[in-house]
Amino acid sequence: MTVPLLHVKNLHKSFVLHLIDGRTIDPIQDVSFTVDSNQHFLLWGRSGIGKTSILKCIYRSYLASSGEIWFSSDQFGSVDMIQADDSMVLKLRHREIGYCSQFLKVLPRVAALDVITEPLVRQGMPQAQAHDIGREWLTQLGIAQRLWHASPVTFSGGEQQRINLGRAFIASPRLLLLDEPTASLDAGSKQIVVEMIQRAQQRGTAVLTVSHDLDTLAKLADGQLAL
Amino acid sequence: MTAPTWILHASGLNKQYGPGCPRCQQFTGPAHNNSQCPVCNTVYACVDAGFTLHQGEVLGIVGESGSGKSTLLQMVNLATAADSGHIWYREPRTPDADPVDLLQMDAYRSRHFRNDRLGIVYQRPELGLNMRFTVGGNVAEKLLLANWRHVGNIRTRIRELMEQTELPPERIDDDPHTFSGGMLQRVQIAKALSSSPSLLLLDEVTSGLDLSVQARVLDLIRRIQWEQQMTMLLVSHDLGVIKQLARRTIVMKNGHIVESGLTDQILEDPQHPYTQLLVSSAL
Ligand SMILES: Nc1ncnc2c1ncn2[C@@H]1O[C@H](COP(=O)(O)OP(=O)(O)OP(=O)(O)O)[C@@H](O)[C@H]1O
Ligand SMILES: [Mg+2]
Ligand SMILES: [Zn+2]
Repeated sequence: MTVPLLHVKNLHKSFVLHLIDGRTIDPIQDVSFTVDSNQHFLLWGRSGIGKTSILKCIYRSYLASSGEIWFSSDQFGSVDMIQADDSMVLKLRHREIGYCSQFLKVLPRVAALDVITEPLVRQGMPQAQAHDIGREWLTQLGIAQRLWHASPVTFSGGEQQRINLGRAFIASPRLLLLDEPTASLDAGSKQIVVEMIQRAQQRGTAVLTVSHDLDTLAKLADGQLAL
Repeated sequence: MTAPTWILHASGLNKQYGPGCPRCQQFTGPAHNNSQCPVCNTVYACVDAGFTLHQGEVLGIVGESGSGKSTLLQMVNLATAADSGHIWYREPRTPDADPVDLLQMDAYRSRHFRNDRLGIVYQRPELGLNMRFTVGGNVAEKLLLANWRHVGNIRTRIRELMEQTELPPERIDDDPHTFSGGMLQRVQIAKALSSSPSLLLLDEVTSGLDLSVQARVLDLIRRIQWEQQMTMLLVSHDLGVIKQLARRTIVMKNGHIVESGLTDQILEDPQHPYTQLLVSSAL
């Protein structure tokens, strides 16, 4: 039996709101699923059901309350993302697990070309080489050349989202977490996303997508869970 | 197994001002929202603090005024003597050598370590610079203490540092009083970097600057971090600054570390009531 790339087991997450009389919110209750390498797994369900929270627990932006999240790392073997120490999580984020949030969050004053190639440079690729690759990606993403040296802060919603996705895909992580990748995109841009997911799978990346855009994404998924 | 990559490993650091009394425990700490014992007036500036700092990493230290951030930083700077604890240091240039406890070094070695291996930048330029020296003289002071001797080499090095920190090198002999606040922070940074330290300590370095100046100083720090893979301890009460630079963050309150974690986790899923307050106030 092969070990899945990701195994989420009985995941629970509650938030204790100390500023509001210690009130508790429990968005995730007993969620389990597995994602295999090269799989495109789709998590869907209505707004507010806790889809983003699941991705954030896996990426460790949120601390899960209980359960297990086993990631099968190339370098470190099986790692429980809930128990792993912060440095281990940083190492996995650096090389193996990518996350693309619903909205682009970038530092102002950094050019689109540098934003999109940052993961490559961080991994040690010389900047000139990273920029060559970056220019190819920006072309494929349909970002006009006049924008390459501008900061994405001023880009349109759709352009920002394409930069956001490009930055997540460019590093070819083993597991890519995508939060609503097609929201705020027109039909043409949605097609670009579909192609990016397919190509990533061919390169050996497993994609875990959270979305309610079933029209675009359901036919791409080879595994899914409704919440 | 990969070799350990930490450069600093601190544990059990304490600093109190005052004699202490049997009632202190009952009245001080984050749960009592107080650092000072009302019975004996002892201030607990830093209590049982510890952290690990990895080579090339920026660790943020955030907390309200008086929470003990600067005290912790000054203990690492070997300027404030810790009452107890250890600060293990592993020299990155000789990774196979045994780590040393900085707090066990004799005065001579401690002073040399500070001048040669550490650099510090303060919020107030007067703390980091001698305002009666020229700009170049300030940088030269640290180089001389780090045993640089050749005057020509020193001046070359200072010009190089001024260029690196985006200061006009022709102003090397100018009076620091003729420099703006943002420029003085650059002089402090040039001075701190002069001895090629293995650890840079930053205490509220952009607080009090105009927003646009603040942004450019932060850009400079980010560039230095990126180009030199500089290890940094970054103290700030501003979560925005911490977020831009630090991947991991420690939260302090009333002398105690109340929470530590990945910076995005601290911001998106803060656990401690105080951190929740801090995050909600920042937005
Ligand atoms: N030399 C000292 N003598 C007495 N009390 C001190 C001394 N130095 C610091 N303290 C006290 O220790 C506590 C922590 O001070 P510290 O300067 O470390 O706080 P901080 O978190 O850096 O604050 P700020 O954000 O205002 O810079 C405060 O209550 C302070 O008054
Ligand atoms: Mg301070
Ligand atoms: Zn007391």
